[in-house]
Amino acid sequence: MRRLADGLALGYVVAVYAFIYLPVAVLVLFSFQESRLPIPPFDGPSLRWYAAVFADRRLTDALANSLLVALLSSALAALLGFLAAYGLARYRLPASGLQRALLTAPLSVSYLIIGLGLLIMFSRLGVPRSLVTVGIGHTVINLPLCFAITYSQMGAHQENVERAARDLGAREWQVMLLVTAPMLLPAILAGFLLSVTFSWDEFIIAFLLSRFDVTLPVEIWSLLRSGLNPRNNAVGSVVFLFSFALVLVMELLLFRRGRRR
Amino acid sequence: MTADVEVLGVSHRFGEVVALRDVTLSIGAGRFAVLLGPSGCGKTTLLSVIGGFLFPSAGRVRIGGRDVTGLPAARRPTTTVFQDYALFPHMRLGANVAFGLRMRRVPRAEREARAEAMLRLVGLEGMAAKMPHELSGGQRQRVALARALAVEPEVLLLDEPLGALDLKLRRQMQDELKAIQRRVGTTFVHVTHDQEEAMAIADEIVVMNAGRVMDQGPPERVYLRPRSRFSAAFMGEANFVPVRLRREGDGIAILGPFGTHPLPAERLADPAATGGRAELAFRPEHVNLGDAPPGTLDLGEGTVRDIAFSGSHRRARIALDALDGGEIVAYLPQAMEVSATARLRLHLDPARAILLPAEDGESRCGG
Repeated sequence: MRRLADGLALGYVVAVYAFIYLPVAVLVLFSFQESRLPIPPFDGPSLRWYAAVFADRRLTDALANSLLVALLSSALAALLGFLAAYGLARYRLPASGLQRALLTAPLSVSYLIIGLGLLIMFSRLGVPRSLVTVGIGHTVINLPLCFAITYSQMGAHQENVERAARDLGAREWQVMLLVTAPMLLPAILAGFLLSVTFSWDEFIIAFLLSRFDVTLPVEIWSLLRSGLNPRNNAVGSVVFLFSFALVLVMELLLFRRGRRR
Repeated sequence: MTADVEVLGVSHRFGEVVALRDVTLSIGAGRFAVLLGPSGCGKTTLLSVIGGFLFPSAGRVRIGGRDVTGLPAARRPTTTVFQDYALFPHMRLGANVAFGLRMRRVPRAEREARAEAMLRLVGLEGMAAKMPHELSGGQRQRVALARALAVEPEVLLLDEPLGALDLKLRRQMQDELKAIQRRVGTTFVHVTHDQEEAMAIADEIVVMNAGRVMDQGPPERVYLRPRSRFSAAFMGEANFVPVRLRREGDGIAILGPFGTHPLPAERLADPAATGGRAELAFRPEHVNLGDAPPGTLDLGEGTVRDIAFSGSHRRARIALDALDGGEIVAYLPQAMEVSATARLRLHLDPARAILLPAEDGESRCGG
């Protein structure tokens, strides 16, 4: 009886992980396919499709664009999120509850709505679609996340430490730069890295707000219209590997810091 | 550097709650003053007002004769040692201690040397490269002290700095604090609710309750001649017996359950109350055993209700016949073995008696 229950539990766990990871594993596996179709039987391993990816100017440009947009928009979101959290946690502001709600609300709005809204607004204002508008869009969706993570870590203890800094003669900007930001670095970094992963594979806003220069997900989408191809698997694997590496870095960095406290 | 502190008519309220009521006191330059009182009595609020973290609703604060009432903490010649130490967790001890000097644009080499000297002063020599999380509570306490002293403040404010330490370490740190204060000569204003700590370190004790100053003076005076019932009760144990007063020649006489007894007039802190009601207070260690010799205050006989061995003495609760069974506390000699229910005869040296103006209902604040 006991062994049967254990067996069922094991089967369930295997099924869950298979459900989550099998598609990814298949995608990665067939990116190493030798022949032209990413379907069984597997006849690799071969790196020819990776070579094709990195030989394609459009794909490498899109990859560089994605990196640029992800890093800059996430840095901006982390900075603005920190400033908003500091202001709301340390000063008595009018309607601070409402302001907090308004800052986090975009988390619950669909990316499609945000993208369309920004598209309409930019065309009304005559702002041409470009990587800059994509970056603005990604800052809009990631700011609530950075704000919420940073705000949740601001406590009374840090407030006392800030008071000690002021007592010793620090000005407001010195308190923020030398004391508050370093103390909150794990939270700010977590917000930044999560934002990078979200921006990295965000499609709909990037699709709506870009024109000539596009990000990687948009480029992949146009590739997909030409049908199945191991090269698409290879691009997908690169995207996955990057996100995975980021999450790993975040875990290591923050977990290590968390244990030291 | 050192300066005197003057607090003039300071009141402060948090919304509906009055934290300080018309507090006036002055602390001499280079003195070690202790603000003593129960939690919620306003002592930490007063410290925040002196430190520039709170701006009082009314009144002035002067440091070294200069009005600092409207100045923020950063621009006052004060620094604070916080209860939770508030060290910068991401900086090494050297950087922690040198932070104030860095804010004052002292060159790096000089501030590192000063930080090292400060760490030496508090007994943490050669630990400048350590991080705060590597230290014990007592060591963090020392770093907080070194950091606050590094900028050579005129007045150092300490907010229950020993509150988180265990008793033994606490007593040891008291001695060190006192020694450090003597060496640097800075005015220290120290907040605590521990009356033993206050007596051990203070040159001057300020007893506070419900936002008011109840008494201020050297520990010996405040303990032996308290000026209010509250400070008599808060500074160690005391017995209180209501009496009436009558002027008699140069002195006064007390009339009460122990009969009529003459006392020198200066025994009463507030002579205006002469002729009215008063309270006779005495410390448990001043109660003597045996028949009352001439000139002493006879407390009559009593029955021991309860007795406990407390190391240096035996603490007894005794029901006095003269008080119709009302109890007093007396410290009996360590060597004396007394059983509960024993009958004892007690008397008091009038030189040890304290006369206090009677108070109608004593206000306390909670929290």
